[in-house]
Amino acid sequence: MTLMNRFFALLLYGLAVAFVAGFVHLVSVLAMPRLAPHDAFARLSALVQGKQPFLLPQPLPGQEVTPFEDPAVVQTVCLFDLTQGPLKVDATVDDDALLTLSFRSRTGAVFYSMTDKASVHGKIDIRVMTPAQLQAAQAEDDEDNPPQELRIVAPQLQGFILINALAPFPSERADAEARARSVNCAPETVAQN
Amino acid sequence: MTLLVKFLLTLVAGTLLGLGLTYYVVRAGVSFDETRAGPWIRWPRAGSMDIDPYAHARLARTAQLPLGTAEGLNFFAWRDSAGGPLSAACDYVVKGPVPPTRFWTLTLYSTTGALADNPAKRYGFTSAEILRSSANDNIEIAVSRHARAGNWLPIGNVPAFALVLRLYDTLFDFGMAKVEAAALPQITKVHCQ
Repeated sequence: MTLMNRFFALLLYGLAVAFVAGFVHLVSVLAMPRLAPHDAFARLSALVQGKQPFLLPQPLPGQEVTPFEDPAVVQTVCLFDLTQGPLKVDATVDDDALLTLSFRSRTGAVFYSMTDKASVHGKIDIRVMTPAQLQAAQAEDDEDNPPQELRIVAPQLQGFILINALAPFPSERADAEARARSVNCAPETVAQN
Repeated sequence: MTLLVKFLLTLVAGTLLGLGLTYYVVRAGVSFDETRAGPWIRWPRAGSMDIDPYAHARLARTAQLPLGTAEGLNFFAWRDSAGGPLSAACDYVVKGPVPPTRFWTLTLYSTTGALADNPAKRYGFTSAEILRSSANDNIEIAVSRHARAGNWLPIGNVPAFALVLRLYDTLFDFGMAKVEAAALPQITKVHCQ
């Protein structure tokens, strides 16, 4: 009888431990993107200085910023913080050269991505905003003259835009670099009001 | 008193177990969003806001930046078509079709995503660089430590390696669907030393 009791008591403790473990596991997995100290945003923040878009070092053995970088691609990055206002991203694309943009949140999730094929009449014209900034912009819109820009709501205040320009041959790296730098991503001052 | 101790012990044991599970799962790269096509592995939601929490936690830890969904597709291979690990002691041939795309790149990395230094300074191929033997769209790339005729991708100074096939601006959207193994190149072991 006492053996039975002990067995059930142990089972109960086992279940309690499993329950706590499951809870801790779920919470820690969900919290990881916010807590990881060396995630992509942290690495890029430590690197980026001066004018944006910032050119990332060419992927070569020993000088990678993140794992699995494509050595055929020139990358520039724009860090953004929407606290002061929306971020305007514009670029002129021409010819058949590949340019891709990905808009990523502080925790590294891609919330929008595109290639130069998605440009309108050779132009990329995007404004990254918070939901409140979008509402304010919509209130000011002229109904007869709808805005031409593409508005994207960011899931977090902070984030970054990663710009990829492919160099099909190593000799075309300079062209790709010029293309990757040609995207304007200056933060807007509150001057728009 | 003893009840409190037991309660605390349960809590501590559960927390340790939960964190250990998270550590193991994130390190091992467990993900509920994984599709396979022959040797190639793909995480269809990794480049979107629908990224699964386990993949998100892993990316936060490794700082890897997968292509955004609209930028292109990336396929990873750590094993050959027969299921054996990709070893630097062996020669391989990557042969077969590449899905229709504007550009693609095939890159060789260490298993954790560092570029593998080699005297030829070649880390991968782009669709423009590749020499095609016949009129069809099939590719054939020799992956070996030693120089090979034709398209030669050197393995470099790593004991084991990974191959990543990136399709930029795909002309065919796989969406969340499973990619058939026949749509991608095979990785065949030729011989080992």
